[in-house]
Amino acid sequence: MNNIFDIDRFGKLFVREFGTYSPKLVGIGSVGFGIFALTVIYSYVFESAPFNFSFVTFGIVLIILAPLIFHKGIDRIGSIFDFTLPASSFEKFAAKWCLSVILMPVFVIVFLLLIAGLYKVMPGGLCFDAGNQIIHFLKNLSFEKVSFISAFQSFFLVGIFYFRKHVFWKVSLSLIVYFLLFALVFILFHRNIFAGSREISFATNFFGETVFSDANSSQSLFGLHSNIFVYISLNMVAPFGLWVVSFLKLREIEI
Amino acid sequence: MIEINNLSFYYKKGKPVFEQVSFEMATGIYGLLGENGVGKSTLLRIISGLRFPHLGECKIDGTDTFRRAPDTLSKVFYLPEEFESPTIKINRFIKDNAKFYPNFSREQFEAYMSDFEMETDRKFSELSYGQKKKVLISYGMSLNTPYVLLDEPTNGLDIPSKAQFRKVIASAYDEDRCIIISTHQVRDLESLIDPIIILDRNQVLLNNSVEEITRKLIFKQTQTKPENAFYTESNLMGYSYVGLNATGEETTLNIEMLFNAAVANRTTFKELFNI
Repeated sequence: MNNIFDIDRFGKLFVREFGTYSPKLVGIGSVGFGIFALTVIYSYVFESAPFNFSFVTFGIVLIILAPLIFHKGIDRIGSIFDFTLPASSFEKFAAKWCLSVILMPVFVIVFLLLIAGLYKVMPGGLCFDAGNQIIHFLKNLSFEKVSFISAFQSFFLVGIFYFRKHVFWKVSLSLIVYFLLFALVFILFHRNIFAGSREISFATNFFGETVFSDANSSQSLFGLHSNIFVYISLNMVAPFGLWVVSFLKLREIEI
Repeated sequence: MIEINNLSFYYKKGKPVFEQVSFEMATGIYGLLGENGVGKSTLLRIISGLRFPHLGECKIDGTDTFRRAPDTLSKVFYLPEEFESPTIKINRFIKDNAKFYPNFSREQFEAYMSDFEMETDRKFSELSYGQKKKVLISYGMSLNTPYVLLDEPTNGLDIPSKAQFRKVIASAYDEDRCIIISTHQVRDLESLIDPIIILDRNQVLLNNSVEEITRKLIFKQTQTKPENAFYTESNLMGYSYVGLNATGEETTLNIEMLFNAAVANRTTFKELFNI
């Protein structure tokens, strides 16, 4: 018996996990379609474009929070049958990883395509643009954007193995601390280079496109992608590194 | 075989649960006895890989349990005293989980459930604590794992169910199996358990078969208070006592008396049973 990875055993584990959490996906899908129905009703009642609900943001939040959605918490009473189940730690991690990193994004993309399709076929054309916006987002998904979402998601993946309770709040707080420290390091680094003569600020939009800027410099570090440290941290280290950390943490959890 | 070598474990530094404990368990229905907090449940958790030794090792068939290797886990079933049962139907739980255990027998599961007068098409959420325990005992025994760890299995079972439990364990036991039952309810299991392990203050006080115990100790009833007994208890018929078996007399083991005698004479018992 292979004690690290056996495809047959992994398949059984994935089916078990999927069976456990699939009702949640049905619930999320139902809520999503419920919101869709409300936006369409709004559109017909007020004869305008649909109520401004961003299904794209809804989808991105679902992907980022997927590790929480596919997890029921670790405790000394509730997790016994999971930890004593004859599958390797790697397989148990891989099952969670597949649900969060593959299944949830696929679910969200299919969901968004369905919503976009439905908007576009609604009679009267009032919802046509809303559908186009979703399609536009999906068509313009870049590697950087996917990596950025993965990076945020990987924080929550680590979080479910590090924290036993209040995972969402603890991870959110950790993210804030992480980015504050990150900003501090960036500012110190930047001041050293420009001898402290620059006025530096930082802010962010969802994709961090103006995370840090130097108002005095013509060669300002506008945008996330112009800084190699930010780029590497968010696109490479965060998802891959945190996946490894998650696996190592899962291996050493005692209950 | 379960091998525990120089095992040390603590939850808080300076307050060891186990300190340099070594013993082995092969086959049999082991009774794991000890006062509250001596580490019975912790020992079962270490054996099942849920807790890791701080020093020393705990191995099942030569593999460290802390590795949680699938082939080791597939040899062990652990039923904790407290558990959170799933909310799904029993049949679904069996379908999802039993496939990981190569020797699971559906027929056995149904037979044990029938012994406990339980139906398999009910939801866990509809069952009482005792009923959930019956399902999990039936499931655990029908997995046919060589090692079964049961933590206070008779807690929560009603009086008829305790007899059913003994029947299930007796029918599931074969000479290649090691069933470890941690319990305070020794009277429920008196006729079932052999050998007996008594844990006490970071150490093993006794780890012997019933035959070895009754060869060295006598369990008797007398009208007058006996002298030189390890432990004496007065009752309506006089005195029950545990004493040294100097004449090779065969008496019936009373586990509760044995436990009290062992706890009251720690050093003597360790010397007597070569621990």
